[in-house]
Amino acid sequence: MDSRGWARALSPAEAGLLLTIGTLPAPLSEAADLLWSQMPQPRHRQAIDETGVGGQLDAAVAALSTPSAYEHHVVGPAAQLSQGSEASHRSDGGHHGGMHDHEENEEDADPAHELNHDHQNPVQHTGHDMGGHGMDHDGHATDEHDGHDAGGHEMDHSDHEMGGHGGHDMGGHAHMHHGGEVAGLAMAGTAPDRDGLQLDELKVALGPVLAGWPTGLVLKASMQGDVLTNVSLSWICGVEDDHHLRQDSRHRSTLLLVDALAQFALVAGWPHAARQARHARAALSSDDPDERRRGRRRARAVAQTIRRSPLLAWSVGGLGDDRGHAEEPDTRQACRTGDVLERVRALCTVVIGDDPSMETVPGVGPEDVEFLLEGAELAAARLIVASFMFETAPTVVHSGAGHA
Amino acid sequence: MPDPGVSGAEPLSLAAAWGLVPAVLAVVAAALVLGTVFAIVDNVAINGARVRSAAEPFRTSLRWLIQQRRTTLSPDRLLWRAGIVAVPVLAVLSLAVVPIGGRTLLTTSADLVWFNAMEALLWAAVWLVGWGPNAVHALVGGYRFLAQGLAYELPLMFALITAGLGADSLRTTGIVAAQENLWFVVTMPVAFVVFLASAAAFTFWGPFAAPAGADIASGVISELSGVDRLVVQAGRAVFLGAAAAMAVALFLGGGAGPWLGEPVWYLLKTFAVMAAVAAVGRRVPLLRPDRFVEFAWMVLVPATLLQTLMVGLLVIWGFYP
Amino acid sequence: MLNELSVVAVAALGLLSVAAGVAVFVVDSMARATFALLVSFLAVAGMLLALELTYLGVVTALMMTIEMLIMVVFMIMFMMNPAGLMPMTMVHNGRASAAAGITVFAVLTVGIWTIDWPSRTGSLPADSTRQLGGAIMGSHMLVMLVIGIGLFATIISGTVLATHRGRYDRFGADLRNARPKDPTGGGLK
Repeated sequence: MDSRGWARALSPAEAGLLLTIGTLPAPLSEAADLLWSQMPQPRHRQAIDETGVGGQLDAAVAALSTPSAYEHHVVGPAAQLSQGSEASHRSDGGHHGGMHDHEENEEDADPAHELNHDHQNPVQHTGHDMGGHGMDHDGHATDEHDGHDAGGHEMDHSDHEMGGHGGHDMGGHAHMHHGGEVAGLAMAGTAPDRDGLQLDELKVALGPVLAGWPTGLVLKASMQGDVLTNVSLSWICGVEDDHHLRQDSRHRSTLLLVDALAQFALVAGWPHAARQARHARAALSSDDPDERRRGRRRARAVAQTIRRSPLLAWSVGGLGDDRGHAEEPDTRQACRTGDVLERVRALCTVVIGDDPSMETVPGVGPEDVEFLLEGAELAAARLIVASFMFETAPTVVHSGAGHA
Repeated sequence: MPDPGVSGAEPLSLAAAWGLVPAVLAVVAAALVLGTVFAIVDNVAINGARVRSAAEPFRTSLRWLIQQRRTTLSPDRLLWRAGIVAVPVLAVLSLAVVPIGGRTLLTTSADLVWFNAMEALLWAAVWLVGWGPNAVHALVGGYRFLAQGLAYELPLMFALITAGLGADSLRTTGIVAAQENLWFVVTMPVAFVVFLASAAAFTFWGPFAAPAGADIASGVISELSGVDRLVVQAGRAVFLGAAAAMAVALFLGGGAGPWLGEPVWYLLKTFAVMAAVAAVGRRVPLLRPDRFVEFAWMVLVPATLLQTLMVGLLVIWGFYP
Repeated sequence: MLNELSVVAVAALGLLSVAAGVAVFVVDSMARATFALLVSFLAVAGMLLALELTYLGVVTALMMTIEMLIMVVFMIMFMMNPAGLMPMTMVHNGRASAAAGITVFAVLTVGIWTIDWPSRTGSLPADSTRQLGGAIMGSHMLVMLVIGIGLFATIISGTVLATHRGRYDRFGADLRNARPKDPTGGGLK
């Protein structure tokens, strides 16, 4: 929660606290384990369940300042990575962020989210993809309050302040293909690049847990310089909605929209707007009608800011335009959405609600986005992914799908 | 190195006045103060004016001090560490020619070029921090920094030289003295703004934070933890503090002001510059380097050149004393 | 006049410079070779500073750093081999290049020590930067201007020749396109 003054970590190196929500399906829990292996000590890992979220968070923080946060026989991240190629292979890119603060309840849940949010257990899930999407459960609400109170005292622990964590790549780079092996890693090979040059390529993967990235989504590609080629985008496992939210689809879609805005603002390098969106989202998921009204006001305000910003338009306009794309699947012609900026402005418009013709933003699947990423630079690819609202992935997990 | 000035009235350097060791300690202390103040101001800009915002830099530093240092698989440890250590060292060295309180640690006959050279060496340091860990995101961040460097470097050089041209001196003390009647910001607004924007760019902060962007998991600093992270982050804060102090010397008349002493005015102006930079920089979205490069070359380079030309003409007409 | 400290500094930096230069050919990673070369240049810049040629020293550091980092872009970026995992040799045609290097070093060293250098007339300038500027921009203004513009023109033409896209690719055969057609958009529309 932002209200606790916790910062979200963007990479595992930055993190102190790994929070997971509920029980994770296998692919995500592997990712979480990997992430955990990359976090520096002192560190603490806490699974959050439905009861007493605030108390659990406090306990997590307190644990950071105890000896248990240090381990004696440390297996360094490097050692772990080299333990198995498997480990290193999958590590590539995931990360996710750590916490944020929020004032409202929900948010608490968010932090958790980052990683995990999926639970197998149908009863409760928060959805969440990374950035906290959906996480509100009413159940938490009360707890949260407790949490808040406790929040007051938090300040004294110095260490924990930041709880975030992220996974990230360490292994990262490591995976290169052809060309022999060094230190147990395959080295980069060469391949023709989009400009017709023969350049080294590096195999990378982003996800499934990464700050500002839909949790459970994995992008695999070859990277030349920072240009992605041979892109494949798929779910390794889905995130299920909170059942509370399902009952009110309109409310749910608003929450998801605001989450999407927060994610996009983060990826677009606008932490100020991202924070405002998270605050709005926290208020929106409150049980208190006044609070929700305030949340709606804030959500509209931040959407206005994003929609109007000339600097943002200058910075991201023209990227990921899906109209007239040579490789686009014909079947999808009907739902072209324009470039990153137009998609995000559409999101804002829906949140603001000043255009009756735009009630909702169509959800997409990985296959609708994949072709746009081919030949995109890493930064552009992140923005493109962040500009779409992904439909909730199938919860079914294909165990083999993860890293073929 | 005391270097008797042309006019014979150059102020003594701090090193000559106090002895080398005390002078160096004083500059390091000034660096810590400036870096800390910037970190606090920055935090207030992000989190609002709360008590905990002010305490945050200290708590985070403490956390980094006790945190384990990260290792990655097959890092280039020598180059990585060299880059990490270089960041704060260069920040302090750049402060050596900033005339807080009217004196600089060293007085060279080319202070402006010295400052510029320290910033250029930062290219090497940041790239090394990105290269060293053998990690994709860090490496992409390192290259983004170079791309950004190619964008801001020339406008920054022209901005610096404009101030030197107006004062007919490359010495910062000479530049401060030349603003006795009129602050340079009045006749060199473009250079002033470009200088501050460049300061944000070379410390990859605020709207120029792409090398440490969230889209690449904080890029160059993504693999840093523990004391490594502390050193790099502190170096960035000190560099921004030094740049704010330099802006005061170059464009805002240094320590000139009524009643209060020179160092007091100097610091007040420096803090005001920091606050302005943080307030603006934290509220705008990232300017992506691939867009900014074209803008820098097509707009900022001509704009700063015109600014220099204008100041050159004013010099010829005897506008500056 | 130079004091003893300066002499010691110049000697030490000279040795560092040579040692770093040797390291360029000894290390097995392009990144380390690049930065060994940078250290060598920075040692030379330090020598200039010790000789109180402040401007030349600082400008050497500035330009060489940027130059090495541009080299990083071309020589390392296109070989995506982070941290130089794949060892590589920095020497090509070792025997001939060693012979060439030793010959040049010998000729220069012999020359430096045998030439009858003129002794200083006049005194140390109060401000070496100003004197340098006067020397360059005073009597040799015309020469420097011509050289400067010539070098700049060379850079531009080299770039134009190297790029495979020209204005006709960007603005159409009749140069009428309002907006350039680029693979990735720039900051100016």
